[in-house]
Amino acid sequence: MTMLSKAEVTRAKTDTRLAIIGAVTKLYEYVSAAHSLNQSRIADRLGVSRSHISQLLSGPGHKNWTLDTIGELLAAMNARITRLEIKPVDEISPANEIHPWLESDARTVLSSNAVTIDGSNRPLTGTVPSSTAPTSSRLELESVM
Amino acid sequence: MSSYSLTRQAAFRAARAAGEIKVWQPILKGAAARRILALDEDLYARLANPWGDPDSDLEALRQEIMAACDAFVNDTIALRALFDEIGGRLGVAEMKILAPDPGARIIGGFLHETVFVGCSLLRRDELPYKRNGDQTTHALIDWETLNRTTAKRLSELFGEEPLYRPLSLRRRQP
Repeated sequence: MTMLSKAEVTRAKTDTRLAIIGAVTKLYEYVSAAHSLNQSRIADRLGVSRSHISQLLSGPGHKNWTLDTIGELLAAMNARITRLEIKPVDEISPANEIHPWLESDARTVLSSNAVTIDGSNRPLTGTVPSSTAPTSSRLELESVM
Repeated sequence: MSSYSLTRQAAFRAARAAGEIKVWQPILKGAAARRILALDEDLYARLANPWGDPDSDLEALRQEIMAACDAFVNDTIALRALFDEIGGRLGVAEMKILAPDPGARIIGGFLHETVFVGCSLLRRDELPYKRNGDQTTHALIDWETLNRTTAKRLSELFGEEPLYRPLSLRRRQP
């Protein structure tokens, strides 16, 4: 069996860190807007300094991130992980949501990848079927406030 | 959509059509491509090709950078965790790749809350700050030059209107 390269392992580690810490940072965006829960209150709840919380929430590379850190932040934000989805890379569906500034690209792709059922060269038109959309993001956190 | 963003959108399309910027296509497909990362043509080419042997530190750093690019496009992380504003009123921002230490930064600016254009890539130790926030004397470039040249490049590509400044970003004063 071939040993994975450092680049391959690094990529997987970074994707994992960004997905999990990214979900926590997005949860913080939500609770700070919806529940006025700021970094000072989170720090007070955990008995740590505000600068420590600020440092955590402004960088996924921060060495102080551990699974316990995540649990503590979720406790302070009164939130829990409600769904965790992990898939083999080659089974991850491509995004079907297209940024408005790139909509012309989507039309070009649909037209150039035209598939005909009846054997003619008639271009296929229409939208990407919603069934190709993944059913969830990789990690879902929910505020229980 | 405001006339401001429509103008920017037209300038963005023109820059793409002219081949001056390229849109980053995530390697790791996410649930949604809600954001756009466009890179200066040279920077895109630099990132798209291996930096060395798959077991080298340099290639590992490239993988970290590409993962951060994918996370931005896939909207898996809050802007504040990935960017700092470094250019004051110029609106120049840096995308932070924090590991492996010392990491790297993509320097550019936002055309819209969801559209970032990267102009240059520097290793963190090539930039003029140290862990304690002081400026170093061995950096490749000083902050003022970096901010000014980045803003100039972005205005050449997209016009003179001020860059978008996401409110959530830390306004770090270099």
